[in-house]
Amino acid sequence: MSRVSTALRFALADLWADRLAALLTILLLMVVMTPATLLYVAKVGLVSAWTEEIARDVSNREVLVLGGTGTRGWLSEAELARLRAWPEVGFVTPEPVFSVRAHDWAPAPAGEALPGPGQFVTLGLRTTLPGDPVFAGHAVAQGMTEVGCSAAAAAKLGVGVGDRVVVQVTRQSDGRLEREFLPLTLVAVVPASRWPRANVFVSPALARAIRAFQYHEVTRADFPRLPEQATLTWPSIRVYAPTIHLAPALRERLQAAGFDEVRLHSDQIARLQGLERGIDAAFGMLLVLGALGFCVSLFLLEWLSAERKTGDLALLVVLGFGSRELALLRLSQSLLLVASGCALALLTALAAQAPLQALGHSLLGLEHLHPFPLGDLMLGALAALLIGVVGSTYATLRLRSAELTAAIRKD
Amino acid sequence: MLRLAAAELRVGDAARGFTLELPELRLAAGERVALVGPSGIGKTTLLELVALLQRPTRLAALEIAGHDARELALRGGLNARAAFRARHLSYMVQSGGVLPFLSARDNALAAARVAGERIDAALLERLAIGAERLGLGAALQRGRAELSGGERKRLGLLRVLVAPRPLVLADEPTSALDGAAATTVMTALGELASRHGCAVLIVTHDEVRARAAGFRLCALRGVSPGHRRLCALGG
Repeated sequence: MSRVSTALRFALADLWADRLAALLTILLLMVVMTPATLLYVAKVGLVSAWTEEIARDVSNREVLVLGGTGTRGWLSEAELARLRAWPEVGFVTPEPVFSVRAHDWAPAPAGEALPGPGQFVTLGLRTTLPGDPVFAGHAVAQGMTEVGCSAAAAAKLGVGVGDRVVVQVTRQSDGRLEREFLPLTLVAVVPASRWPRANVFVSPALARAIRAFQYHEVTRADFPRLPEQATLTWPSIRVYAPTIHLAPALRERLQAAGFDEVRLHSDQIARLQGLERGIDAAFGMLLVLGALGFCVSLFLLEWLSAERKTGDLALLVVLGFGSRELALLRLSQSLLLVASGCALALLTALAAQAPLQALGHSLLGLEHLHPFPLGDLMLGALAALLIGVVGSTYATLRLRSAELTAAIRKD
Repeated sequence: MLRLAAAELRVGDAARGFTLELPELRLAAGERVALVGPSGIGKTTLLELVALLQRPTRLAALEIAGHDARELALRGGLNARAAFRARHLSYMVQSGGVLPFLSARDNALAAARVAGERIDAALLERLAIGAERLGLGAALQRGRAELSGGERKRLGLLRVLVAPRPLVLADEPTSALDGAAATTVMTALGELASRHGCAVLIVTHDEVRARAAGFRLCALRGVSPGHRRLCALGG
């Protein structure tokens, strides 16, 4: 039998003989580690799941510019390009009117026929561009012949992707109502989870052309074209932050830039950030206290153990154990105790998954928690083991020959 | 087997300590020497010096089992001294030296295990014979808490008998033992020399039994306040 295996055998025998003290040590380490572990699991499980839930709804990244460009004047294409370069901006599309303008839409009848009056549905017109998060994974309406819509709009119209729809654009001219009909191809229907309201989406150019007709900038014959001298400026925008966490920063920056009545689409981000801040602060405090408590506990336990067992260690030295074997003996014991403490803390955290799941469901409406952060917790356990190694090695190495010799006589 | 020359060791502080001077100590294989002297004179310290547990302040020569151990004694590290001790020395401490986390049987085998020896049939036979001889047959399966002081002491000797090294050191091996047990222990130590050829150096106050077991006496005396010397051999 090698001296290494003898040291390990003696280490286990010593732990078993002193099992009550070993058990208390494991429980103490568990008690010190569990609060921070539990809070971390709650932080990852609840907050991350909630964050993902919120992030899934693109409207949570949207910043509403209710008052348009305000005192700063309408946006030129160059200003729009500068806006796109902001790190807080994930997507922006210009709006040709301050507020959403409604138009009459209807499914296109076969041939040259026009829809009857009863077939028209009034729907708000919005613009879209490639990269629109609302249309992620769907085709984006482009040019003067395509249109996209929300599921609610598609349901009202009774149309699907590939169908043709007609928009009726009207204006007053010398007391008479002028009507123009524009047939368009429906290229995308976005689900209600992306856009719950009933809206249609066209390119900014088409939206601007419709506006030009309504404001008599073009003749009926020229519809749907932009006037030759048209200045491409925009009174409002639909804008999204790249992440939900940047949405508040985008709101601040837009406000600072002179946009009016700027607000977040959802108050969930503020709640999320409040929860994150609270949990982060509590976690940080618990982590510091836990780490401190763990180090102090481990150091005290190692010190007490070394003091209590100096006689045994001295006898092992008399029998021929060197500092290497003594260190191995103490180290293996320390690792076993710390690993057991970590395992119990992990098991407690695992057991807390079900109550956390219930809490997430009742408090935040979450269906599932974020997966158990086993990797992170294993890293934490590794750090605890490293502290154990350092504590144990220090406690063993501080034993001097003179102390050991004195201990032999006391035994 | 053991040659120690011109060794000096300072024990304790300047006010209350003393200097232990050892002009010469020689033990051939199979030889038995008992160190005698009043309590506190430094007998155990001398034994610890030979066992490489105390570091001398001066040492002209130290040979153990044919190996020059002078440098080891003066400057050797804990690991080197422990490895040397495991191969060449058996040391029975005064209490017997029982590890509380091992059964009595495993305690008896501990020295062999620490030295990395295989626990083979021959070794187990020595264990059985030694246990029988020392009256520990029934005690072998018990834990330390269940052993009496005398049994612990005999268990310490049993560990030496199971895996004897060329140089055997024993610190007051018969103290706290009744007459019969003391005689058995002293005789067994004597036989380690006569049968196994070990050099046996013991510290004892039990001069009568030591002489009866064939031990040559060697006295440690105070020659002046704060100065003790191994000054008399034979007797």
